[in-house]
Amino acid sequence: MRARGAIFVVAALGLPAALYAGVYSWCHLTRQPIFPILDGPAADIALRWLRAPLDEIPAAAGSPSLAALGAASQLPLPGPLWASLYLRGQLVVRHRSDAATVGEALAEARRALQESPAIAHLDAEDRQATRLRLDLMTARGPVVTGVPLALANSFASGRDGVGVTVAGHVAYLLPDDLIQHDLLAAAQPVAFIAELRSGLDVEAADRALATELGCSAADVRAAHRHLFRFRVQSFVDSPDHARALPVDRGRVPVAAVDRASLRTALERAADYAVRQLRWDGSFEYMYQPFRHEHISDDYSLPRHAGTTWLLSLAYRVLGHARYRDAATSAIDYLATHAVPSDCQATAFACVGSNDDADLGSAALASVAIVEYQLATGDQRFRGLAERLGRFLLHMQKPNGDFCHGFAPELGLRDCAGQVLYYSGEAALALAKLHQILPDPALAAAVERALDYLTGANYDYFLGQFFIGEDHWTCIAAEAAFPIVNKDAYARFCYAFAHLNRRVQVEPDGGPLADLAGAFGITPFFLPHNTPAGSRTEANVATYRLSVLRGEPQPDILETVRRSLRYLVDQQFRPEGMYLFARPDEALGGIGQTPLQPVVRIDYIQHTAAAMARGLDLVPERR
Amino acid sequence: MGKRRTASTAFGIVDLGLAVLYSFLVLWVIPSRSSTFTVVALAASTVLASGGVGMIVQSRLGLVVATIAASFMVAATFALILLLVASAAYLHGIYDGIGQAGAALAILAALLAIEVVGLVPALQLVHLWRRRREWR
Repeated sequence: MRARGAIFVVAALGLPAALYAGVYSWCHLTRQPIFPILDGPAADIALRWLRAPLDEIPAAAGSPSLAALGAASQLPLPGPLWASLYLRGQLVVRHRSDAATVGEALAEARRALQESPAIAHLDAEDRQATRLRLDLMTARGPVVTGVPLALANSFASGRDGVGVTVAGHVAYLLPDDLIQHDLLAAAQPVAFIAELRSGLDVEAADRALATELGCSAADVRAAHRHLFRFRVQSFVDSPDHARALPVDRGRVPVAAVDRASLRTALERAADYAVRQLRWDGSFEYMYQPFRHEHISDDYSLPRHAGTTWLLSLAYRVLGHARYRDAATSAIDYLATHAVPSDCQATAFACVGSNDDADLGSAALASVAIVEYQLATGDQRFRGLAERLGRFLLHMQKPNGDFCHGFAPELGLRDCAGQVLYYSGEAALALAKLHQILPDPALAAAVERALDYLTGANYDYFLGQFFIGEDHWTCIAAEAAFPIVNKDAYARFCYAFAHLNRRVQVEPDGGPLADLAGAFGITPFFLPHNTPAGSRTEANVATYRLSVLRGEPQPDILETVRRSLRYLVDQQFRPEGMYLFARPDEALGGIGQTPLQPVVRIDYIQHTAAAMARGLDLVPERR
Repeated sequence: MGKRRTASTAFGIVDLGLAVLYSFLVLWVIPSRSSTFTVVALAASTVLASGGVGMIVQSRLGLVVATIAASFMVAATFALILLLVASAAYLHGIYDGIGQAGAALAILAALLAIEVVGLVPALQLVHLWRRRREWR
């Protein structure tokens, strides 16, 4: 009996352990060679040598030779090598070589580029604008194909490509192809949560592979058991074609930032916001850089006001008149288009329409105006700020929280619905308004609001275990410091910052190490960039609060610095953007996620505001 | 003897309740895109329900059906755990590491599988083992 029990225990533990080891070793890429094939100098030589005929550099003019690669030329290739030439995001030509060594594959690719009719038709300006990317397969592995959900999640996002063998022919979609064709983060694992998406759009990938092979998508589907994933080492030439830059998840990574590089990033982001300004003072709401397409969809006034705030912040930090002028236009838009007629003859001003106004729009409009006045000294919007302040006071409940909706036609508050962020935004607005309107009523309202947000708001059983998206609360706590300084606010914000630190991707964070500084959960769902910005704004404010209180928190400072590196890394910079139709238009933008480059104005608002407010927290030199 | 009969009836009612719950979850709360999963889950619910009926009827045949159903559910729990282990290993292999959160989720899912799917049938089997002399 005892022996049988022992056998049962061994089987119960051993079988799952053996199963785990077996499945892991079957699908893990390290089972096969996964290593960088070319080092930086070798990649420089390889790309310049490939480009030389394209730039029509005569051999005597210092064109590199393949011999300069030395031993790297003889390195065996575990899979194909691809040379892809892009012009403003469009693939001009791609050559795949299945040669055995690096040297042979490069020679074959160079011949193909030399003989390409598509390149022959490019004029000198276009040739100069082209970007050449080199991909070398480093490893290849199997995937489970029988279970749709497993198949969709069998490709590490942005790192793995998809390949298939159909009737002896092999087709590949490189990791960048999957990003550019929006095939990632597309599968919906839970039927009733449409927002939760993760994994490959298998049907679209089938169609793309079929195009590559010249067969039907049904043929590819029928050959699903021959699908595989593969990983590549990638480089793209720099815009001046002088160097090879490493590529990871479709972008050229940034290893570290200093104050100068962060300042440049802030300037680019603010310039991006200025470029989005339309003739009437509103912003182009969203931008799709792959297609150079502006998308106007449900224009958000709180986001308009937030972006306006950023412009004033940028003017304060960088001093460029273009930011001041853009902020003036954007506030003018709020004053002339966003204050409904029913709120114009009243003592207070609201923001929205006659049917529906809301707390958040008025709050962030106030913040934008205060920052503008502090930055420029221009008091032309002070009256509007004062009336918005009265509106915020009117919306506050006795417990310190706020009603979030208002019907101007009826003059009635709607206290039923609660919108994420609005109460925190109102607390910040009250604190900021006090900076230009030293009214005791504002001071008392700020205190009541912060008491509620850091106390009663979490005064229930589960509230002791979590903190929501309270970044505005902590930004408000710092802004309110001259008026009210309470331990409870600091403790709350320290706890929020520590929570952020716990979910922050570490530099040695395994598969997500390249995204160090972001805030995310598991490798299956890539972090979003906006929370990285908004939480960093909060962490900057919390760190400053800790300094003001004489108890500086070094952990929070470190969290801020890591996030700022991440934000610069994610920004569209000249060295990346080879997949974009108009790099000049996209410059300075920040996408929704590391793989989804659509830019909405609030992504810029939060990330650039974090840069502006955290600039002096970054060391001057790396 | 009366207590055991009452306990059998209680097990039968719980089985029927769980069968309804599983069907409801699979069909309405977490509908799967895979029809295979739905069919297997509904089949398991049917087996569980038939075992429940057997436990309530308490005829010789009924208790045999209940024993088979409970054994099937215990085996299904093991299979589910093995599938979870294989899935965790697969994701670990693909993503180069699923981290603490991933491991914790996998363990939680396995524990949940034992509790939700395997616990009642296991206790039922023990109960039926104790009643085996009655129907031999």
